[in-house]
Amino acid sequence: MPDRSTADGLGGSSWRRDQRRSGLEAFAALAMPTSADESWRYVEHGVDLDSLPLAGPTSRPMPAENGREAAMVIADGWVGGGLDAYQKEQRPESLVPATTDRFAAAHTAFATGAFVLEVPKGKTHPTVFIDVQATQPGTVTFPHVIVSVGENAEASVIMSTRSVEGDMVVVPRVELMVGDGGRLSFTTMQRFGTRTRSVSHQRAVIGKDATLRLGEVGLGGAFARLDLGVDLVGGGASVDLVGVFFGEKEQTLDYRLVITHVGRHTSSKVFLKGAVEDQARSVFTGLLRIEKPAIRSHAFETNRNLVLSEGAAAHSVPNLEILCNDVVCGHGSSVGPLDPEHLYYLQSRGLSRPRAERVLVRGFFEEVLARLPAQEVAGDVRDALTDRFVAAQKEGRVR
Amino acid sequence: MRWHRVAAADEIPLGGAALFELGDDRVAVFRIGDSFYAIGDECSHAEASLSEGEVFDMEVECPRHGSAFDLLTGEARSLPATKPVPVYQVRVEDGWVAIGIEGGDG
Repeated sequence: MPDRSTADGLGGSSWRRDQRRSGLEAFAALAMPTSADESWRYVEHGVDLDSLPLAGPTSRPMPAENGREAAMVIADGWVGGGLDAYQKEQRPESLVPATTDRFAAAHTAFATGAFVLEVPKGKTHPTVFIDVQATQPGTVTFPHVIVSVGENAEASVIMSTRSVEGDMVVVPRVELMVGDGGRLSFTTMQRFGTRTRSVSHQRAVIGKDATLRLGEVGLGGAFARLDLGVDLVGGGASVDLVGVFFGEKEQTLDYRLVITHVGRHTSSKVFLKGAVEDQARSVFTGLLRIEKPAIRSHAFETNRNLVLSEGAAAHSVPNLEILCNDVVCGHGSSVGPLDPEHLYYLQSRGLSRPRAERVLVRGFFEEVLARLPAQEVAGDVRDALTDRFVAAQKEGRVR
Repeated sequence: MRWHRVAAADEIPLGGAALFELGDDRVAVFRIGDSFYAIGDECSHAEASLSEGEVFDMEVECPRHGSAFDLLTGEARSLPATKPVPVYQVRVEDGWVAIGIEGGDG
């Protein structure tokens, strides 16, 4: 792993050098997380950060996909050209403290730059497509995206994360700030290569009467973790998260959510559906925390999981922590196979068994796809999900 | 019969499909290997687009309720659909996929 001299060599302004130093301290002080840590329960990340070099700028960027030209390419953590008007510096105060975990500490110490999108007060920014890629096996990279939406401003962002085949580690960080009355839609399409391990931190702070719509699509990676924290700070702030994932083979997909209601009349909705097949496993832990001042708040989270093979497993742990007595909260969670009664019914209507399974799997995901904030990618996601199940059916990997 | 060129042949992915609107006709064109097949896009059972369905052994499966239609004859091969969908003639002209529409002379 890169050390102090690497961090110093990366340079930057004086506050950035101080920030790097705090990252280095946390990196030296913290141990790698293990499944004995509460927030890493049920999973093994399989990463040895100390053995990996930091990737330099790539000489082989990945080609654009489906003819979709990105406004911004971040390759191996290095912020590329395009959208030149935006700064590429990080900020003195990160929403992700270096002490969050050792991955976050390494990010603070070694990230090579950030893409910052700032939408000024009252302005509406057209959809920005960000292409985050990792192209060098045997390395670790630290992509960084910051979106700041000003008062009564509006923006939408689609961030695709992908990587080539080969063992590597990617630690993306996303910070979202939505000012009073602002509206932001942010969708992540996680499609890392099958041998990539990623630990992603996303944080959002939402102001008065502001709205954040989050889309989280999880398809790739050998191990892919999303550590998401949303703070509803201003009165009337709201967050609406819609997510879908599908794990296959030996994949582990790990979702850790903490949504904190601070302001009055704040509202949160979490709707995450996923499937696992083969030996894949998924974890969802979702904490809704309602602070004392957050009276008249609404908070709901739903996590539904389909387990399509005997060797696959899904853990779902929703949690409520309510410190205020005038709120409406709820959670729903389920883990199970395709409903045998549904299958029986469809077969009684003349559908063959494999066909009935496909109809049910498609229908399961359709509910999420229809609600994804970035409808322009819903078709791609639907195809990827269907293809994954059909391939497993053809090879007899399900049931 | 009037022929309409709708797309370059290589624009339709192998094993995939594309939807074209020709006047009142909505036509789903499927590519299996180097062959193209064209049928009415709307499932005869309920509103759904067959071009979004998967193809299994020359049958397209409706993404909504799982009805299956024969790509060559348009016949319904699996419930819940019972009625066929229309079939269109399709050919490749100079690298273009062309669809033939009856009564479209002029």
